[in-house]
Amino acid sequence: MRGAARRALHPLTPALALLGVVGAGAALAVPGTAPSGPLLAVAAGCAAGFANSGST
Amino acid sequence: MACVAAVLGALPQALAPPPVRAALFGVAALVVLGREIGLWRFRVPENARLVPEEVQHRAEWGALQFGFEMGTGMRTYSPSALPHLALAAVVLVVPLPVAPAVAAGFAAGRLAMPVMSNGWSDDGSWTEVWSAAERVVRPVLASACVGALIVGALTSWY
Repeated sequence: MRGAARRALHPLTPALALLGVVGAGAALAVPGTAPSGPLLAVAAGCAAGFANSGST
Repeated sequence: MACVAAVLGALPQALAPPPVRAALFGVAALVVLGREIGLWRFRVPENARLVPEEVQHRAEWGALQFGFEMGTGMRTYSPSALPHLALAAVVLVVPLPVAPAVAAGFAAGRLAMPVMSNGWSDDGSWTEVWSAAERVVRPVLASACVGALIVGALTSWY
C-alpha cells in the first residue's frame, strides 16, 4: 500500500480530523454564525465510538 | 441506547436547573478526560465479553444480532470511558432532538475501526499500529469528544 493510503488509515488521522471538526464547530458556534450543534454531537459520538473500539 | 438515555434524560433535564446539570457534566468530563490522558486510572462499567462468532450464523437474524451487539458495544469490552461520558451528556445536557446525532456518530466511530483495520492489511497488523499510536490517539480523541460536548453545552446546541 502506498504511503498516502497508509497515512489515511493510520489511527491518528481520524482522531486529528475529529479534532479539526470540533474546532470548526466551535468557531461557528461561539459567534453563533451557523448551527453547529448536530456537527458537534456527531463528532463527540464518533470520537467515543472510535475510542471504544480499541484495536477492533 | 442513546434513545433510551435521551428519553430518561428528559426527566433530569426537566427537573434539574441547567447550571446544576452543566456542573455535574463538567465534573464527569474532567474525570474522564484525566483518565483518557492517563492522569489516573479507574474501571468503567463494561460487559467484558466478546460476541461469539457463532451468533452470526443463527437463523436469519444472527447477522443482525451480531451487528447490534458489536456495533452498540453492548456485548464487548470498553477500553475507553468516552462512551460513558457521551451517555452522561445525553442524559444531562444534550437535548432530545440532538441525541440521535450523538448515536449516529458513535455508530460511525465504531464502524471506522474495522473498516480501517481491513483496509490496512489482511494479517491483523493494524492492531500493532493501533497499539503503537494509542498513547497519542486516546488523548486526541478525548479532547475532541470532551471539547465537542462542552462547546455544544455552552452554546445550547445552537
